[in-house]
Amino acid sequence: MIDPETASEHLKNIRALMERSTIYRALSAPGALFGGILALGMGLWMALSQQAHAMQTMTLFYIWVGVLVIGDSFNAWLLLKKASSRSEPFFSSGMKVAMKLILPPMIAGGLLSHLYLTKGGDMSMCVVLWILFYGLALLAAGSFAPRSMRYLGAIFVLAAIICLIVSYFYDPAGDIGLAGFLMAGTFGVFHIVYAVSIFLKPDSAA
Amino acid sequence: MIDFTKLDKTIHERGRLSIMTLLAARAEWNFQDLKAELKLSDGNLITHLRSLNNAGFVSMTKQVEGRPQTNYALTKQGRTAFEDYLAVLEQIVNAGKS
Repeated sequence: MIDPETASEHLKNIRALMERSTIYRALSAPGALFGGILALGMGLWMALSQQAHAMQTMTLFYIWVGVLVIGDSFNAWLLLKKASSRSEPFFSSGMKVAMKLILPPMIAGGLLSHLYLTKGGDMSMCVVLWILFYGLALLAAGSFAPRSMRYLGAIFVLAAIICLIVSYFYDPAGDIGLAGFLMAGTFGVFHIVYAVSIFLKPDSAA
Repeated sequence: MIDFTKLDKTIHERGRLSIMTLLAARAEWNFQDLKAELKLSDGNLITHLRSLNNAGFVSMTKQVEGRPQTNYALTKQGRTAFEDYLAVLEQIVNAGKS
């Protein structure tokens, strides 16, 4: 026999354990805020600065790789801090599954955009590829990520699709300013909105 | 009427219930990940997994390619038993409310 209180407690524990093992927030709110502000600042610099407009597209590519490394390192440091405060390993099973899902589209997007630029491709279209593959990476982790991360992925993919459709009517060739505004508007603003939404509703499943 | 016979004694033990919960949440787990997630000792975890395997609730697959490891998954019988167990718990909670 088991009383209702014990049964209820059992169910709560089962639910908590299931959530902990199936939901992994690979992108923390402070990490997203930091990355968003960084992307917004760099995007606006790229859009408005004459110095950026005079640069080779490959130089701009590597500047953004640097921004990615800084943003991801900060996010990884936050995840490490969170894991150690809970006495959990950094490379938890959740982290491993999330990485297995996120990394293939991220690496494919990085390589494809690099190849595209080396073949004389345009910076704005390269940014659209980044937006698309980043969104696909977040969606790939969808079954394992909190709802807000799935929404973020969907918004990135939607933005990329809109850009692709618009590019039928407007040729952005050589428009570094547009590329900068796209980076600021997506990687910048989207991440800031995502971070604010988590700060306002910190529920782990949201 | 609550069917308490569906409150399986093999699952009801706390450690084994936690293992069943994790296996129900994700298709497959390896031994090291289960150990890290549940913070159980090797001996304890092996004993529980053996009991669940003997009951036909959990299947074991030994992976020999690359780093050798053993993967665990719920069998069909195990999933049914786990769902029945949850259903009984819910009935008990609901009965307590009415």
